[in-house]
Amino acid sequence: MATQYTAGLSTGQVLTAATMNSIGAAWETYTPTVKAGATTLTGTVLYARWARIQKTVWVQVAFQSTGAGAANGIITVSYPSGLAPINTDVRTIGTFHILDSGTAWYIGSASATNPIQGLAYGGGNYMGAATPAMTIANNDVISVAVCYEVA
Amino acid sequence: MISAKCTASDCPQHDVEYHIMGDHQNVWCGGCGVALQPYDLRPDPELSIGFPIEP
Repeated sequence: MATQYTAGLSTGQVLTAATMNSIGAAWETYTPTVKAGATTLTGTVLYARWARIQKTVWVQVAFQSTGAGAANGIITVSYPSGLAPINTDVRTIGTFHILDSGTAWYIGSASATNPIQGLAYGGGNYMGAATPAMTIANNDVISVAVCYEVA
Repeated sequence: MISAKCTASDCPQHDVEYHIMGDHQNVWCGGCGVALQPYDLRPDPELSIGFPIEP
């Protein structure tokens, strides 16, 4: 897949322009699955791209819903295929925000869980289920920016 | 904007239609990683994000 740098070089190997150009190359577009609870949201991928340099991956997603999600369902965003973190323990790997359109922006911490979930200040559960508990509706936007280690 | 759909029968995102804004070169399936064949190229719609954001 794609044209990102994944290492795997061997001693004595001649470095080609293609290999060198893959380091920090243009990010790759992917199609994230965004869910509210068990409900897969329909919508528009405003931006969903990733980059990789060896074992480090960056992902940024902005997804605008055109449909309704589950009431008070945990909101999740999938990683690019085959690029989940090497460790999915609960820890922060970036930021997670939700626009409840016409109401508020909610800002949280993106967790390394697979798929990505958001934790907001003072919450007793992941965003969507609590702090804020919400039902995703038309025009709501879910956005994440994460950086993490892969195997 | 383009639309794209993965046709691989064993993909968890099989037959889910995605609508993707902006540069649509090299769109990869998030479920199985295959390159998707976009269709229905059209202008990006204006965003209605819900709140004005000052530049």
